[in-house]
Amino acid sequence: MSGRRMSAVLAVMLTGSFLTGCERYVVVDPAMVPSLNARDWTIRSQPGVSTGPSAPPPVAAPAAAPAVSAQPVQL
Amino acid sequence: MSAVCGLAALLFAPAGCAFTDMTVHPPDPTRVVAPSSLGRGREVVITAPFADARAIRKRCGMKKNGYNVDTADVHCSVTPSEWVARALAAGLAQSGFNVLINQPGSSPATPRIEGDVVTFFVEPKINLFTYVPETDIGVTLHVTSPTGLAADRSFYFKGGQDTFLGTDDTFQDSASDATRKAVAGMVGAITELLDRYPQLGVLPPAGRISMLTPAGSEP
Repeated sequence: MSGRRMSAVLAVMLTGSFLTGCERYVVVDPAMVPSLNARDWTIRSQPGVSTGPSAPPPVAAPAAAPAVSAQPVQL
Repeated sequence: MSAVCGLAALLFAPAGCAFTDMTVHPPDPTRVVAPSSLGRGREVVITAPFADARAIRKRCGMKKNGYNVDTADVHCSVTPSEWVARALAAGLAQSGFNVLINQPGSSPATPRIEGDVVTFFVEPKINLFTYVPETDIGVTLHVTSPTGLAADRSFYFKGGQDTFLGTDDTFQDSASDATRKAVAGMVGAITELLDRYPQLGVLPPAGRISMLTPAGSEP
């Protein structure tokens, strides 16, 4: 291969390298890092007071008393 | 002809050892964060490994030559989800927390920490005179407790190592630097969250601890 031809091949390779190399970043720009960090926790639910593993289950509400009919009873 | 070969050698010199794959390793767990008593002995449970939510999973990073072309892979010796979870556990322990990994907490007030690793990538930034391997670590933490806490937070950290030549050591230093920043940031945020709820992570009274027996045996 002549020197001139080799130079041409090199030039094409390097040009291609520059073009394909552009914009091939996976890591973000350092200036973007603060915007990717949440400023605070997102609290979806607050903790209640610990009842311990042996605490009794909550007592169910008493069943409602039978409804009293408003109709007068026919004797 | 010799001039052309000389020119070629000069042009490819910035590539360095960019054509060989390499592996980065987690930093020494005892040195990810400075020892402190921030945790005040509070108990936390960590689920390890974290979930792997990365878009690119086949490698942990890439090398580039001096012309910004992807030329080789960077691999991790352990999966990033294991890497980050174990580093956070070590950082919390160094900060005075009583850390249980993949175990039940000793009380319903023990918070459980889970996470999603969304980014873990090592990549050099090619500047005019410098070659800077950067490591990005993105994590979303989920902290819950049987008593009802449910909290989430996203983190993103970048480690870097300014250098003139991109040797394998600089990639390792970059990954270690990002890990230390990530652990410091996450430990600080977890401490700040648990400080809001003083009942969380507090160990049961000593009398109850003495009742605990190894799994599978009767007291």
